[in-house]
Amino acid sequence: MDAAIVTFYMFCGLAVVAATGMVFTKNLLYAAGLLAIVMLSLAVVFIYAGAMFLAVSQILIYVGGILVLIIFGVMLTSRKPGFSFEAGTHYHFFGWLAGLSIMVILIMTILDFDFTRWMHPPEVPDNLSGYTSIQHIGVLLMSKYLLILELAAIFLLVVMAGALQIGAKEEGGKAS
Amino acid sequence: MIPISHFLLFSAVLFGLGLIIVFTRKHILMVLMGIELMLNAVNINLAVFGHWDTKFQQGQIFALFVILVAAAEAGVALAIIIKLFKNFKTVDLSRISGLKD
Repeated sequence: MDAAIVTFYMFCGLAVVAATGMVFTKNLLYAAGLLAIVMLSLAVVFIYAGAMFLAVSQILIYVGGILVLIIFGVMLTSRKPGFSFEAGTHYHFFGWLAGLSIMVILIMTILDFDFTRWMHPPEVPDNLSGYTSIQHIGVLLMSKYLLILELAAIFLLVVMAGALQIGAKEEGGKAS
Repeated sequence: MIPISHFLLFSAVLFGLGLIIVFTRKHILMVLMGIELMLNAVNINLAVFGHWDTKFQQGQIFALFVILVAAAEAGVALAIIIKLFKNFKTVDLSRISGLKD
């Protein structure tokens, strides 16, 4: 068996084990660390799916941005002395029922489907053969998807203003 | 070449685990982590099927915008959680039951 294929299944297993650990761990900081492991393994899986740019953005945005933000939130919301990073659980029956049943339904549907059409990816067309995948995405973002890219920029600006407005202290000394 | 169904099975398992976390955890940040896990599981499917669209790379572009929305959501959620913690002095979802106290 090829070493590259073994690596893929190793990272898949690592991600599933880490996600299972997230379900069972009591400690919030352990859960954040396990989430980092899942994200990094998923970056490897993206490379195997042929999405190089997505793998790099995954590491940059998720591990470098969102995860730091979550750990920041954990620290800010546990300021009481003697407070541990413990998180309780509730709704055991219905939570496991919903999660496991959607998992089983999806797995049964996938095992049932005929993937013969999807065995080999199509050939790259001639006019694109000089490009790498990342160069191609750069050209597409600046031509076909230019409008949605600009809308995303405006969206991020609005989100930044909104988050600042929500998180800011009230002015005028009014009791909140 | 790894068969496409293995990617899909992997993503289905991750999605189910994320849903279990969202439902069973009391801490509000843990629920946020579960949502991020589910969004990531969906991104695998988009990336894998996008590999077949060599001309427009729609899968990868769509997954990119999913990541963007997830980042925006995490930022606003953190602001709301800090505000909630100021008002209720707790982040326990079973004790936050109204819009105002």
